[in-house]
Amino acid sequence: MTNPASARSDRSVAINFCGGCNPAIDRKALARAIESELAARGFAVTYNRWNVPFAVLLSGCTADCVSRCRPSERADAVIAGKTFGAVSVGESELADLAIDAAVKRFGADLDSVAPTAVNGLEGRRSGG
Amino acid sequence: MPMMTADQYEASLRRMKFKVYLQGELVANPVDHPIIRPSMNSVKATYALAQDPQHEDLMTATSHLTGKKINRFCHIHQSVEDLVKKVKMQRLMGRTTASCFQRCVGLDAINALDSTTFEMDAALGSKYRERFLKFLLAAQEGDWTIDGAMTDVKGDRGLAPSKQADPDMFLRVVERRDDGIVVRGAKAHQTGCINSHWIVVMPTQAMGPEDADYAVCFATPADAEGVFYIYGRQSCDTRKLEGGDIDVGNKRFGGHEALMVFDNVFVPWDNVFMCGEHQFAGMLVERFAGYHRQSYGGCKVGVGDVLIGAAALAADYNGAAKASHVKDKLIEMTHLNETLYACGISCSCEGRKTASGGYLIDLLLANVCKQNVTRMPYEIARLAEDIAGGLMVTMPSEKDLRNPEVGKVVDKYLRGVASVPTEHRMRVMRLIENITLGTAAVGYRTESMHGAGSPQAQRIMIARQGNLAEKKELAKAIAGIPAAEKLAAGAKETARAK
Repeated sequence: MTNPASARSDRSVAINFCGGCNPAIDRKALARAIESELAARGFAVTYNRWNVPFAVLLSGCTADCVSRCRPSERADAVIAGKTFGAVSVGESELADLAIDAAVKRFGADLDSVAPTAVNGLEGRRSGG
Repeated sequence: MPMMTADQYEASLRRMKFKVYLQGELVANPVDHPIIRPSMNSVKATYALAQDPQHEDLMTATSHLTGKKINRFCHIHQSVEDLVKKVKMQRLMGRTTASCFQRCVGLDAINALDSTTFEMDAALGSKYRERFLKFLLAAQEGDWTIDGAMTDVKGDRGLAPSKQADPDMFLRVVERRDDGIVVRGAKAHQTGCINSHWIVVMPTQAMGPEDADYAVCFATPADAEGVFYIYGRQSCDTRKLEGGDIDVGNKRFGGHEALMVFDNVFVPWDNVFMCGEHQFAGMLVERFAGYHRQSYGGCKVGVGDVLIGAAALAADYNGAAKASHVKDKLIEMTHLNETLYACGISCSCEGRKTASGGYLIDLLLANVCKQNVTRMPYEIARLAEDIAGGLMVTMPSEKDLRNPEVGKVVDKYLRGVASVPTEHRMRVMRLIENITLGTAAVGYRTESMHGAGSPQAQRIMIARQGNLAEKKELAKAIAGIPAAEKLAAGAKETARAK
């Protein structure tokens, strides 16, 4: 029997930030757009975690600092400045590319999970 | 979790009993004093950003002592990556505050102490490291802001500490007791001291045996009995007393320095990390200076980012953005700014592990970094002033803009591009003025010149580490000149043949 809690954790996505010292893109707006769409599609979205099946690595520039912290080879979505998976793209395309990658990772079976934003960007900040 | 929130930090300062003189008066409440407050906000930002997921990767680290997440300003660098992240954190803070945010001095002090106490104990059989690690653990658990106090007032620069007419011109040990030491002296240019929880005092230069009393390093609470401060004036500082927010340029953030006086201050032995071991004073100074020179490749770059943005905005508001010379000046500003960043990153990437396990930057490249910082912010500032135009230093005040009679006149005649409110143009002009001539110029210009050591100090280090002898041999090899050894061997053979 499938445990509902573990079913939810299987659809966890983390958005992992670089430190933002000199970003070429608006990381906050991008994170909000990705979080909002993924939550609406039934994903549990969290921030700055690696113990999830899929992560969106959100580095503000092509130095791609988040990838240096990646624990092992994983099929994550890598945004580094105006590149996705090391390919140059427009900033406006980044959110959709990340969302598509997450959806493909988990396949079409997204029916039963309620929208959740765990430790969302605003909640995490106010929680301290 | 040992990380304070920004509000908790402010509350912790309110509990302290600083003794501060400012413009001849004892300040009852430094936290809320309008001249001091912006500098507190800058340090407060180091706590706020550590709580923000968008900046956690730079602003926090994992303590090698406890495994807990800590503010990076309390961290001993454990890798080249840590050294790089420190520079990036500095840039982030410079961009956020457009000022000297002060907390890096303590970070650099604890890193220098970590390796120096280790090597000192190994060489001399002393027990300083154990004491230092206890202090460090407390600092991490308490998320302290630490001021690193190095620069003595120095008196006659031509004389050694012990030869000064007034022996207090360099801070020294005046009494050794069973329970600790008593120290007397003053430290100048103390950045952020009144926003700090603790002070780590270090010797200001290498010391000889005759100056052993001056080879002293210790930690003391910033409000310890006998410690008092005389606040440093800054250009345009009293604008903060006028109310309003345009003429100060940067209302929220700022920096400060003060003269810190130690009037027979008692320090228990637990907090003493060097006392008379003059042979290691030079190592501590060199390493602290190295880390601090690395810092400038981050913090001043961040302020430079803001200044470049302000200059570009001024060009937009003036209607001059399309002029090719304006574009080229902005390019030059960016080039110079990123050159400084490149220096900060390079001395970090070439860093090494020390015997203590902590990582040290490449000292030659750190000194090159700071040497460039003594020059390039001046040129960046000059170009910003060039683009902004003379109005930056001649325009009427905010009170004139708000005046019911002449406000309309100011608004009419100071309008640049028609679509941009005059107030916006005035604001950006004042920001440029603040960074190039006002209170923030203390941090951006003169501190770039003298902070972490004056230009000649870096030239001495560059000369020491430049390895000129080896470079001469390279040149000889390319030019076909026999190497020194071959010359000497050849001379001996000639002599034998004769």
